Amino acid sequence: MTTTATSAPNQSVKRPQKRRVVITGIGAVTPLGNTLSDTWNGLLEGKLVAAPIKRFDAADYPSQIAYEVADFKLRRELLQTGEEMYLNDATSFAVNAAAEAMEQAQLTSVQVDPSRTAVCFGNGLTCPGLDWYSEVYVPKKFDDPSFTNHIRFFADQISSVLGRMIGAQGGVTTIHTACASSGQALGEAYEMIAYGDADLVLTGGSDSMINPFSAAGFALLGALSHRNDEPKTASRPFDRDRDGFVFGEGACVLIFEDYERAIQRGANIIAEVCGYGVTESAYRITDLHPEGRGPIEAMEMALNDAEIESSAVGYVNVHGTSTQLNDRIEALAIAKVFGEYSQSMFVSSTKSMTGHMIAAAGAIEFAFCVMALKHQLLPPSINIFEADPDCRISLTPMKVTTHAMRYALSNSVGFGGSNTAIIAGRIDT
Amino acid sequence: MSADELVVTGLGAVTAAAIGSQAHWDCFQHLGKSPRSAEDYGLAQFKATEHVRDRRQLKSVSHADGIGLSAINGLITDSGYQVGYYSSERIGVYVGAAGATVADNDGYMDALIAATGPNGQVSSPRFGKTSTTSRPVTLLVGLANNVLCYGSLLLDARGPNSNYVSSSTSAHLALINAAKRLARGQIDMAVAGGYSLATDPAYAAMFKKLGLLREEVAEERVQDNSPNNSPNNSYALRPFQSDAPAGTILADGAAFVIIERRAAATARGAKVLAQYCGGAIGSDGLGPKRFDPNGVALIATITRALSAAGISSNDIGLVLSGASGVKAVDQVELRALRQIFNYGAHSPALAVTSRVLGNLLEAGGIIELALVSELYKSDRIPESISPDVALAPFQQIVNRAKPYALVLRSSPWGEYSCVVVKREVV
Amino acid sequence: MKTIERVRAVIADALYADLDKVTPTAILMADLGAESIDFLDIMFRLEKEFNIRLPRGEIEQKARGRLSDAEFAVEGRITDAGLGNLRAMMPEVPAAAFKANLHLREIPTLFTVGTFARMVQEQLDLEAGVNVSATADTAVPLS
Repeated sequence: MTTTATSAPNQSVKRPQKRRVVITGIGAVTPLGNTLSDTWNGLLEGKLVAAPIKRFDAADYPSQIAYEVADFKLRRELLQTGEEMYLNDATSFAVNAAAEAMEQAQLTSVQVDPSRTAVCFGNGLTCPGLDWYSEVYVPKKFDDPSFTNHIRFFADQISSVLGRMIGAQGGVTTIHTACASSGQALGEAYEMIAYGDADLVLTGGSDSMINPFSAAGFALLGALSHRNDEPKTASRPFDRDRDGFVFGEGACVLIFEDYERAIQRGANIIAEVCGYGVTESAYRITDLHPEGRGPIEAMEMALNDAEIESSAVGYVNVHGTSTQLNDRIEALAIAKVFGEYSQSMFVSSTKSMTGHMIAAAGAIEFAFCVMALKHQLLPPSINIFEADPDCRISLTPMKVTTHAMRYALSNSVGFGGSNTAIIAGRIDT
Repeated sequence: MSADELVVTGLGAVTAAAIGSQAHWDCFQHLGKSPRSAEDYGLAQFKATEHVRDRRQLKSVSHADGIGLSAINGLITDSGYQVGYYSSERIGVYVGAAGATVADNDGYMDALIAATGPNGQVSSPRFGKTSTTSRPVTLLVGLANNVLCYGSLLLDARGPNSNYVSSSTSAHLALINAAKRLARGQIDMAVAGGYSLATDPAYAAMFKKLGLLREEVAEERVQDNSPNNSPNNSYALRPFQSDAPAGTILADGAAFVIIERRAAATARGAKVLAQYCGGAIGSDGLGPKRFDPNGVALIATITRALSAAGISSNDIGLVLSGASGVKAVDQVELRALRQIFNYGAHSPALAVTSRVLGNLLEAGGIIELALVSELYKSDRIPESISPDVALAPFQQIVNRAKPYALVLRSSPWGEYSCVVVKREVV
Repeated sequence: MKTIERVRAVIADALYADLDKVTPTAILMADLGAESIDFLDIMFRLEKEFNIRLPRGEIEQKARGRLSDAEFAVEGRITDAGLGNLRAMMPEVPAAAFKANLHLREIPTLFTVGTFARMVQEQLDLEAGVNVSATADTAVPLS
């Protein structure tokens, strides 16, 4: 008779050597600006663009405000004939952001082997407007011509367009884990290169949930700020009187590359990707674990992966949505990993200035970490009128400040329990 | 045999054809329920409450999520997995997800209808009001990662995870990424697979407009007036047939496997279904709905998978191809396979499950893993999963001297995946 | 059917719990596995079932009574006076549950099936359709 073990025997599998991964291009379309530099400058200035929603008539919704992308012009010249039908408002942002990132990375097809080039993108879920549902879907007009381009609302289509833009033959991956989507996409892109599955990956995220369905859905959960009369100060992560998040939208695209190859082709290296952690809270669908277990484990995993001590990190860009519970639990998790009121590591949530970019949040917030390292600047904490004493962390000052730092970490926490932490490292020049 | 080998130790599968691992095999062998209409590939009437042990998991999920969670529940039973065997933080859950639609969500649809005037015009501000009386969990029902979340709760899995919304390669992305993390020692066990939902008529309508859907079926499905089990066999999906009407038929379903290291699997007394040897993904890079008819990227994908497994095409005794029925994509698959096997005389046997299961989209390419060892044991490929017409150079008899099988997926968006497994000798 | 029986059925439906476990004294979070979102769902279902509008945040408001913020809670922890008021507000909850230093956000951990039955009954007795804002008793987290 055989006996069966009730717990797994000890398994020690040696982790293979990692290759170094660097960032050679970043592009962004955000409420703060339609390029990365405009976005970054807006962030340093503490620019606040939240206003009543323009994308749809939001009168009579419990929450009527958002951070919207303004004056956006899709760079149609970059698209192939017929390709626009695969794009929606949110994924159009990604086309421009990708072009900016690729231009910055000075990518030409000669320099990169297409079979070693991949796309790994975190995308939001979008849907047609109310009119379409009432005029086509509800009356069951299933032969309506609008179905021809209904495909644009599928999350994987933008990845395919981005794959065409960069000529990726090494695979196209689309990830959706709610608000952790692009944090996760960045992490998987990093691992693809670190473990030798690809040499170059176009990664990032795009999203816009500024639509009637999402506005209604999040309001029902009591998750949105009700400060309709003071939109600019409604998103206030870590302020004592925060009352919910405010929608943002946009896209951020990053080019991750194998360090050796980037050096070989003389690419301009912006920073290094040093570590990635990803966990499931496996606690509740929306409630966070009361001690912040999932985010703690993700941050610790990222630090282990980067082989650094927590004291080496100078800046953490948190998920910080501006809901009571998220910010409190996240602060608890950070205090556990980095110590309470650390004097060497400062925290900010840039959602006070971008709003919640949902599936694109992880990518843009990691990009902010990269820029913070590059310029050795801490983005300001904005909209803090009275810091929440329950959040025992050192927030960045309210004005942009210089800070010598080697590493920065970006956290994402998603509905459904996925948590990511990704660490950027300064490149010695 | 090495203790670090990765093995597949259970299958949870819910399709219109069958529920459970053994039931699927029986169905393939005996031509079980041979689907004859689009509805036959659907699970509109499926009741997740009968398959999910903790019914509380179903309180704020969609119909599609219920199908996915039912498959994970079935998987735990099939694999005899005892929760707690592996430590929580060493278990990964990797899901190919169907996405979510606003239409499959009563909270939104009821509010929409309430906000629509007698002239059929909907008012956005009115929707702002009518929606406030919808179920508070409306948004949660529409999350595309509910199966990942609740599957993790069920397994007490707190390790690395992901949720792929990448069409036909989604489940393979889940499997390949889970296996990579296992191979690197980042986790000790993973649940990987996917679920699809094609019941929403908007899907069929869209596939039809894109010219990807089997036309007769499109008509029938869209008008929703066809009798079930019509004896007209021509309605079944028939891939790889030059004389059959082209186009795919979408199917509802879910399939998940457990993948772990052999030593630990053996220690817990799990039955090994097959050995996982390697996988790869690839893409044409030509944009949506454009693919390379020469299959260069697909050939490269298969080559990378073979190389990851450390074998050559000459070791392959069996191929399980995606064969969605979209003619152009099927032809790319055939062309790539013919080239990989060098048009040789000793080519492998070929099987396709799509005729019986339909196009499982995000759930596809998983049931095949559990099928491999059974096919090596049987004398020839059962008729239900054998392409009707003999396709040179492929065989209907598995060459047992070649113990490796290829499982292939391809999507109309020019994206590919390939997984290599080795049959298990019992 | 009596209010309590209808409330039990609604809660059992909302939580997919067996009706015999949904006793009047069952604690929603500890005994029935409810999470914060379930409170919203239960309130929603009760409103539909009884065709009433249940005020949100009422228990805490009433418990505050004439107490000032500082008299009711210090740094989020409910004072003895505050606890006394809460206990009086929720006679259906066992006295032992009102532990010293209870945090404001832990109030929902006290709720029993009977708490909801009492709230519904009070509202039915009022027989008035007061339009209230949709702020919940419990903050729902958002990621």
